[in-house]
Amino acid sequence: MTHPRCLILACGNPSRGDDGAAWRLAEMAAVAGLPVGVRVIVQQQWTPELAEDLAGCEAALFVDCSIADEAGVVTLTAVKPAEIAPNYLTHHMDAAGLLRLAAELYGVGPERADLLVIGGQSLGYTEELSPAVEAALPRALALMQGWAATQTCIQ
Amino acid sequence: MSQTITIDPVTRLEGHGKITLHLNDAGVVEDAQFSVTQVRGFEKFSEGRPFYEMPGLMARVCGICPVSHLLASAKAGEAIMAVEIPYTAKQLRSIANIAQMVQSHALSFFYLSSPDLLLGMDADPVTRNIFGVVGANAAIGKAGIGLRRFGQSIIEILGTKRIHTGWIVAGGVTDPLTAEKRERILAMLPEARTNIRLALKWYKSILPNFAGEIATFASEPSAFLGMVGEDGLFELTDGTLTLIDAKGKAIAEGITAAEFDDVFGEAVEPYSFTKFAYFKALGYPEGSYRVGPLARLNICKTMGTPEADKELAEFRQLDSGPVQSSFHFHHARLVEILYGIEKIEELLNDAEILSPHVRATAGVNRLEGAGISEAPRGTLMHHYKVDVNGLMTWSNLVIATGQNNHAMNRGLLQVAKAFVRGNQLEQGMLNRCEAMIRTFDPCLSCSTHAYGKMPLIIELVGPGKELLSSVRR
Repeated sequence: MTHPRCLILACGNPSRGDDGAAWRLAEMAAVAGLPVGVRVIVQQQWTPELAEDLAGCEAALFVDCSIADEAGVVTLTAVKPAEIAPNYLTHHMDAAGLLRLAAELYGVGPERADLLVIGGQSLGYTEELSPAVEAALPRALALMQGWAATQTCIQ
Repeated sequence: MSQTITIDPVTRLEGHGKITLHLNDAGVVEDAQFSVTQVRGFEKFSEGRPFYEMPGLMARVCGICPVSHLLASAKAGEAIMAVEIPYTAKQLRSIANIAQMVQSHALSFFYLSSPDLLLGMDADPVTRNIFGVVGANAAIGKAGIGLRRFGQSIIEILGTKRIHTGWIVAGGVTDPLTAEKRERILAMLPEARTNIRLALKWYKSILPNFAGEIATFASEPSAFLGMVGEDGLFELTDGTLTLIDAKGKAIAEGITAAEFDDVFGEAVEPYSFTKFAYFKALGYPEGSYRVGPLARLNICKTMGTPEADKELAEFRQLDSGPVQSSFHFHHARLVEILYGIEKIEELLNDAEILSPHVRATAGVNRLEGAGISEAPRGTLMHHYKVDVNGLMTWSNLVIATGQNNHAMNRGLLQVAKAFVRGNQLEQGMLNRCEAMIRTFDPCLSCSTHAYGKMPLIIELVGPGKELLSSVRR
C-alpha cells in the first residue's frame, strides 16, 4: 500500500481577488497532473489541524499569495519551523508556525518544506485575479510541478 | 480623575470586538461595554436576489458556523416553497449540523479558551495560545485537533467542502449519502469518543481552580432560549423553541420560526453594531435572555443519548436550578460534543439514511418565510420576504451573539468590577474580561478575519481624552 508522502497546502480566499491565486493554482495542478503520492489540500486559512497532515509527510509545499511582494513575482524559498513559538491570537497559522506545531505535537514533520508565494496586487471583493497574477500562474505551476518531481512522494 | 480602559480588538474571538471600561476617580469600574465594531450588510445586499440563492449567499456570513446559516436559510426558503422535505434529508442535515457544532465547539474550547484554562488567567500572554496548550498538556492539544478535524471531515464528506458547502439547499440536500461515505464517518467515531472523554475528565479536574471566575463570569440569573424536540428532547435542527425563566419555569413553549418575530424583538444600543434581542412580553432589557450550549442544556429534559445523559445529570449538579454562570458554557460545550458523537452514530444507523429521496422541489407558494436552527453559539433565525417572482425584498437575521449581547455586557461589568483596578492595571485583570466574553464564543463576523497578528491594545484615557498610558501586545 502506498501513502501520499508529499503535501501541498494551498491557502487563500477565492472571493478576495488575488488571495485566490493559490486556489487557482491548485485547480490548474489538478488538471495538469502531479506525481502520484502528492496530496493537495486547499483551505481559506492554515489551521492547527493541518499539523497532523504535516506530521505524516516527508515534504511539504505551502502555497500562498502576498501583497507584500511585487505583483506577479513568484518566489520559492525554504521554510523552517518557527524558532520561537508564535503568539497566535486567533485560530489560523503561518507555515513556520504549523511546522513547529507538527514537531511539538507529533515529534515529526516534513524533512523538507518550501513556500511558494505569488505576489498579489489586489484583495478586493472579486473572484477575478489581477492581470499580473494571472500572467504569473504558468510560472508558478511550473515551479510547483518541478518541486513535486524532485520529491520522493511514495513510501 | 475618571478614566476609560479600551481593549481593542478583543483577542481569541471569532471576529472583531472592543471592550471599554469606564473607571471613576478612585479607579473603580463604574460601567462596561462590549462593542461589535463591524457592519456586514448581508440583509441589505441580498435584496433583489432569488430566494433559492440565499443559503449559498447568507452562509458567507460565517466561516465557522455556515451550516447553521445554510439550514436556517434553506428552511426559510422551504417555508416560501411551502414544502416538507424528505425524512432522509432531515436526518442528513442533522448530521451536518451536529458535525459543525462539534468542530466549532472544539475550536472555541481547545484553540481559544483552553490556554486560559490550562495556563491560568494570569499566565504570560505570550504563552496563552495553542503552543502554550501543547507545552502544558499535549494530549489535550491533540484531542482538540482531533475533534475539530472530526467535525470538519464529516461536513466535507457529506458536502464535498469543509466551509460553505452547496449541499444544503431549500428542499433538502443535493445528494444522498453513499454506503462508502457512511462507513468512513463511522470509522472516525471511536477516536472522537476517546478524545471527548479525555477532555471531559480533564476539564472536570481543573474546574475547582476557577471558583472566582465561576462566581463572576456573567453569573447573574437570566432567562434562557433554545430548541427542543418532542417531550423536551435535546435538538439542534428540527425542533421548536422554548424560553425558560431564571428558575427554570417555561414561559413560552413551542415557538416556531414563523412566530419568532411575534415573540422576540431587537433593541439597538449606540455603542455596538450588534442588536440586542429580547422577549417582547417583558420588554427590553428585562426580557433579555441567553442562548447557546448553556441554555440548551438548561432547557432540555434529556439529551437522548446514554453517555451525554449521564454528563447532563452531573452538569445539573453545578447549580440549584438552571446553571447560571456563563463560565459553564465551557462544560456545556463538551457535553454537547459527546452528545454529537453519539447522535451521529445513531443517525448513521438509521434504516433510511441511504435513501436516494433527499430533495423536494417547488416554486414560490408564499411571499414570506422564516427558518430556525441551533448554531453552535445559540439560536439562529432567518426571515425572508419575496415578490411573486421569488426575488428577495427584505430579510432579517437574528444571530446568537445578538441574543447573548445583553448578558455579555452585564457580565463584562460584573467581571470588571470584581477584578479590574484602574490604579494597578495587570494583564490578568483584562484577560478575565476577555475570557468572560470568550465563554459565550461570540461569532462577531467569522468571514472577515484580520490579516496577520491581531494586536491587543489597552489604553487609559483621561477625562480630557488625553492618553494616560497604553499597553500593546
